[in-house]
Amino acid sequence: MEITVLESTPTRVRLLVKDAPLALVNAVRRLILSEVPVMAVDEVIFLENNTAMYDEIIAHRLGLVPLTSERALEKYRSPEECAECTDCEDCFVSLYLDIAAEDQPVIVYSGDLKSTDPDVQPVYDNMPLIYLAPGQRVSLEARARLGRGKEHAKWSAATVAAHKYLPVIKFDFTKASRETVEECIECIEGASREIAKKLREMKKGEYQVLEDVNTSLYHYCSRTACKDVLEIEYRDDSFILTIESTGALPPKRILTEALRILEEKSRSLLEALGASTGGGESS
Amino acid sequence: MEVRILKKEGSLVEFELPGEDHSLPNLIVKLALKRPEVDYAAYNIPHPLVGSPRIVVRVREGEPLDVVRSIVEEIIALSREFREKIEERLKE
Repeated sequence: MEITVLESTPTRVRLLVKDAPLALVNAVRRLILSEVPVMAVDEVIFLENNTAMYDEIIAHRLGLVPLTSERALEKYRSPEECAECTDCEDCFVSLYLDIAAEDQPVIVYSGDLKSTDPDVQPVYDNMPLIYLAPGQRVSLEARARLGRGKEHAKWSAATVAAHKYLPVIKFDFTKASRETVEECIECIEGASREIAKKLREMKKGEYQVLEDVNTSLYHYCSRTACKDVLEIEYRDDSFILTIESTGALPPKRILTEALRILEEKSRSLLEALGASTGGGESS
Repeated sequence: MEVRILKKEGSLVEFELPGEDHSLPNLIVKLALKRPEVDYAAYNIPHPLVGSPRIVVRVREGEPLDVVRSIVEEIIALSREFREKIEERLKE
């Protein structure tokens, strides 16, 4: 197994994964979306709300606000322990909101939420939540806990988790006529000028598309302007795994957490399998 | 994790993983199919809301549950290798 980092920013990574089974990459992708725990508002107690918005809509919006969760993973109890609790210790973080609009309208932003734990804060403070007309007031306590994406999408650690086969362009410009090559390159430019330029320089060979471009146009080109000159293939032993975080956890942590969960699940399955046979015939 | 063995007849084993989704069963089955000693492997989730995945593995030789155990061990090794590579290559 070989991993190359193609892109890495605080909220997004793209990895080239070589010589790993597709099912493994797919399991990781699925676990990222459904199992990696993050913090999100789950209960809201309204003290006052005379805005145009129903309590439920505001509660739903609060749930969708990403909260920083990296430290919370160690500090707070697991989703399984907290899901049925209303008043358990080490489960909930309270975020308070109390804003009134006097004679000017006010827009309430995610940054207005006052958290009781500095490790659990809204990731972005500029997400508009509620519009308050003059004279309106909203006062509430929102309680956040750890949860998993399989319970509700607000607990998904990633907004994007996707993999695809590595696209490879096979081409030979040396045998074709000049017009065909020019036409073909023009077609290729439609998706990326950079790639078209590189192909022109290489003249013939194979080009691995590691750039983040949509390769479906190349199919069209290979059938039209680039007929018999260029082909696109997909390597089925190399994958490009893209992960975009909500900001609650860094992408690296999301990945390592997903893999740790996979390992733990497998370990517990192995243990259960050992127990279920009792060292011989089925029980 | 709970495992319910539904059937175990000679070279065939069928078991259920209550509460799981596609992630693990798909991985087990796909890795099983790569092995020469595995004759047949498949899984099915009877109903997406209430069903639990049922995995069937039939082997050409040996004890089917031993093969399943060895596949799960392979998954542990793979996920650890993947995680170590990520930790090494990806900076914060």
